[in-house]
Amino acid sequence: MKIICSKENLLDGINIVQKAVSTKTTLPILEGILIEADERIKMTGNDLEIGIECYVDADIKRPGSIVLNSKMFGDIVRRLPDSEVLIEVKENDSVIIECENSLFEIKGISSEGFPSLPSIEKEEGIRISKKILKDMIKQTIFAVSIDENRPILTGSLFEYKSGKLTIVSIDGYRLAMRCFFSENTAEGIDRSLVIPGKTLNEIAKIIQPVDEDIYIYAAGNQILFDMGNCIMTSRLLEGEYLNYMGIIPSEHETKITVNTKDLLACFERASLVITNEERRYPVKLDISDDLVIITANTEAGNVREEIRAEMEGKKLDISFNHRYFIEALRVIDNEMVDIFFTTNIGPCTIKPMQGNDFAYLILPIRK
Amino acid sequence: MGNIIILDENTANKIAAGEVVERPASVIKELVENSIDAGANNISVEIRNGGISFIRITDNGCGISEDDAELAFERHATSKIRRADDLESITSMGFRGEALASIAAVSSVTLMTRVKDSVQGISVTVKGGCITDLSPAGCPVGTSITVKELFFNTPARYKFLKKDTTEAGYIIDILSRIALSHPEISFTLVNTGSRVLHTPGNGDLKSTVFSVYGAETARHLLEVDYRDEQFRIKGFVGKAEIARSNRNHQSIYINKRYIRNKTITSAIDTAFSTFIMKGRYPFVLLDIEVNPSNVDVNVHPSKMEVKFSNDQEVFRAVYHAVNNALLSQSSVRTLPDTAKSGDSFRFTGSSGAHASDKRHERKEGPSYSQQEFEWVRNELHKKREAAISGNSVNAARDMVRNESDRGADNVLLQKESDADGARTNVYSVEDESRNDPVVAEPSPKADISDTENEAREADSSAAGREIFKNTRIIGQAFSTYILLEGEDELYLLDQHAAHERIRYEELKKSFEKDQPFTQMLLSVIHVDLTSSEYQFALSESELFERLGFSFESFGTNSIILRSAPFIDDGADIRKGFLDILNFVMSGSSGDKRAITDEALFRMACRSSVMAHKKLDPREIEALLQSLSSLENPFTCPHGRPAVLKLRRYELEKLFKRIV
Ligand SMILES: Nc1ncnc2c1ncn2[C@@H]1O[C@H](COP(=O)(O)OP(=O)(O)OP(=O)(O)O)[C@@H](O)[C@H]1O
Ligand SMILES: [Mg+2]
Repeated sequence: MKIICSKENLLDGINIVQKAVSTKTTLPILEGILIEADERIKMTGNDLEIGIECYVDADIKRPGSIVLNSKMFGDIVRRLPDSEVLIEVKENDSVIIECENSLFEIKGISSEGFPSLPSIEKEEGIRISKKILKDMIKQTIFAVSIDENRPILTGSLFEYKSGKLTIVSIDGYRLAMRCFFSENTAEGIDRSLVIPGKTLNEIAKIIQPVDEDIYIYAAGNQILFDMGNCIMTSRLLEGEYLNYMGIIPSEHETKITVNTKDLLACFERASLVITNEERRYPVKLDISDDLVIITANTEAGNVREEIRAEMEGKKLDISFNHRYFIEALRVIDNEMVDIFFTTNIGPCTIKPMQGNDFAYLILPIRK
Repeated sequence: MGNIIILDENTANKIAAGEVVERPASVIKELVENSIDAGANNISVEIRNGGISFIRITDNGCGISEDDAELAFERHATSKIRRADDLESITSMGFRGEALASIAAVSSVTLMTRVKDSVQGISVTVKGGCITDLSPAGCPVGTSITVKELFFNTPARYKFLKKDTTEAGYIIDILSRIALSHPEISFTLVNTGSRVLHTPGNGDLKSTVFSVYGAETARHLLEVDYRDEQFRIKGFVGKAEIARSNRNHQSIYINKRYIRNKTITSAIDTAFSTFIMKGRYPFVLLDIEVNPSNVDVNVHPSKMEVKFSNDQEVFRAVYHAVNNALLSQSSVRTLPDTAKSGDSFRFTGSSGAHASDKRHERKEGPSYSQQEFEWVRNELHKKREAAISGNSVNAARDMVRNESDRGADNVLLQKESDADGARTNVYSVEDESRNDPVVAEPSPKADISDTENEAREADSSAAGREIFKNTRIIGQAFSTYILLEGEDELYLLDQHAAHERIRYEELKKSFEKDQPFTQMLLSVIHVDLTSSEYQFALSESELFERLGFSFESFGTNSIILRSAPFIDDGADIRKGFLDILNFVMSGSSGDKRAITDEALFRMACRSSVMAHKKLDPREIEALLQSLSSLENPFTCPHGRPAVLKLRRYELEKLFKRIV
């Protein structure tokens, strides 16, 4: 194999496929990036959970393939001058990397043992704008559970039903749901998948917030994201996801309408007295007469915030883990939100003033 | 007139009953063992009021012939051995021939039984040792024994019985353990109409474990299958995921007889020491098959204790059996480098952990040049190593531990008189001549029970705290230890342990002020429990509610949690709950409320850890300041020492300045 490629292109590819390269493994080949040169070069990283393939334009002098240690290869390319890079495989899998006045000869690994990505038929996919998908993931990923006792909740539900895509994350204390409906930008057959949180995190990092489309295919317990130059595959989580519709209450006792940013700012200020060592104290909401009083009292100090809100229904005193509110409010783009409360031990739900684009459900803390 | 009389048989039986029949659970153990000896493959037990008012055991074993039925109630009437020599080769559960007689002496027993070849059975009723009825009866082949009014004629015993639910818990526990050693027998236990235990009896041990402990446990088992010339060891050990904070989930059997034995548990601990965190105990289910002549089960009437002709051999076999299972587990990667335990029988409990700490620290390099100190450490370390490898300490271990519950590694708990007569409580590096037996005891610290720690904590006093004021700070070593110079001694303070202690006391104060808040859960958490845990949890649900755990029963032996204490949102709730449950269950008696509080502080404490950190002299000063105001600054909340002392005299001896 012998190729010449610009450092920039090479590095773009490396940065993407490195997300799927294993760092903790006993198999050296899994710590490597597979480079295959044909008409273009194709780089592959595969930690057996997630796999990424990325095409990069290059001048192919001689086709071939090799596996290079991801960390070393990446570090080398990153530090090379911004110029053309020559990569050539010599005998015994030794590899020359040359760029301007730098010359490396590093050990490669024969590409034979590199595990191939699962093959998934590109049929009946879901098509959606990259920008929207990225937003949707960002708006739900924080509620993915980290509790390995319930593996299914360590992923997000990805539900596609007659043109509507819904992503749901649930941990033990809250739920984040976001949906998107458009006949133009999304199409495909109905399905319901559970995608590992880690996979969603990586995909959100890789895709640019642009108005291009991404195609999503699934078969068996594997999913494939096709981003044009680049594809990512991942294992899916197996099992029944919770019935999220059944969890979101349809009735309420109290409703407030508030400015999202202002409420977020109140919570953020209130949380300042909840230091790391005082994590066991909640933030309290006192709702009455179109006014919400937010307080936190800890060993470290006390804080009181007031915020105007349009209010309907009963007065209410209720406490929360501030982090859950902050994480939800931070990802809401709408200027105003409705917040529905049931009782002081029942769930509260943050929703948009119109429509059903999202719902954030948070369980309170009681004394 | 002489005072000595020969007791009439009834009185003798009543006395014997005291040894065999302690509580309903022991009645059930004896009767179920009889059913097993009778070759039954289906044994069902029914109890009411924790077995105090009613026990019925029904089996499909061989039954008792009409002629023998009456005889079975006689003392020393047994069909299982014929002469004393037979004791050497006991393969049956029973052999003394006193269980039935003893039970019948203190209750009202009805025996219904029929053998295969007989067309009709017989019914015998005995109350307080006297036969009240004997008549033919129609009944299926096998035996059914009903015990009512236990201890009706021994009020002293009756008084010592606990609450019905507690007694039921004991019964579930003992029956579960018996069931686990007989996967080929189907056991059923019905407590006041509801079935609390049922094993399939299909011969498969794993499905028996599943039915007793639930899916979670069954999923995390490693098979043990070991054989050498003397022993055959089979069963399961659990992975670290299902370890508990007490030994309740450990069952050991010798030739299918459930027993307790310290040599065996210490062999298990040793094998597990590098696989599991200190203070956690693995799930263990082992049956050790051994030639009956090498083990004596006739130590106590309860047959729970056994004596081996060679303890060391047992230790070795169990250690290897468990170790092999652990090593075969593919997910266990890189062992800590102290785990050379495979070839030599070094205990890798706390001494191993120390050695690895040390290596780790050395890499970072001492931040203060403390050459002499280093030498002392090395020397102490070497000495310890020599002592350990040169001694076959395995068997001696338990004995030594009983003799002294003092610390390891030349470190003794020393009590010395202070000026005002109060006692300080500092771990001191001891003088050579006195420490030999203790050096041979390599890892007792891990085993020191909480109560012992508490006793020790109670021992500390204000006088000892003076050391934090009347000393000069030399500096910090390995970013971990603070060195202090006293008048005639050198102190080493484990900064991490000390900080933990400070944090613990702070938390405790703040918990006393404010009970924790309770976080409601969105998706309930399902927890599998053993029957006895389940019974306990339900009977103490108020206690748990107070802590923030509200739950409800979710079918047999499982519950769902609806809320949890709001301590740390990253905490593993299921594990926290189980830890607290076990902690409270093992807190034998006393103030339950205090125990649960304690459990909660521990949970809170665990979530506040301080990393290794280089401290500046002002920070050290502040740390000492806080320490000197604590009730017990000498151990961390987990019982590890926080302060060590090296006396000048000992240093001088080490440097051979004095002899
Ligand atoms: N369920 C049963 N099925 C058949 N025979 C039984 C049953 N229970 C008791 N027996 C007979 O009654 C005898 C007396 O039982 P008992 O439990 O008192 O003594 P043991 O089992 O021989 O010895 P140990 O006192 O050690 O239990 C037994 O030896 C056995 O022959
Ligand atoms: Mg018996």
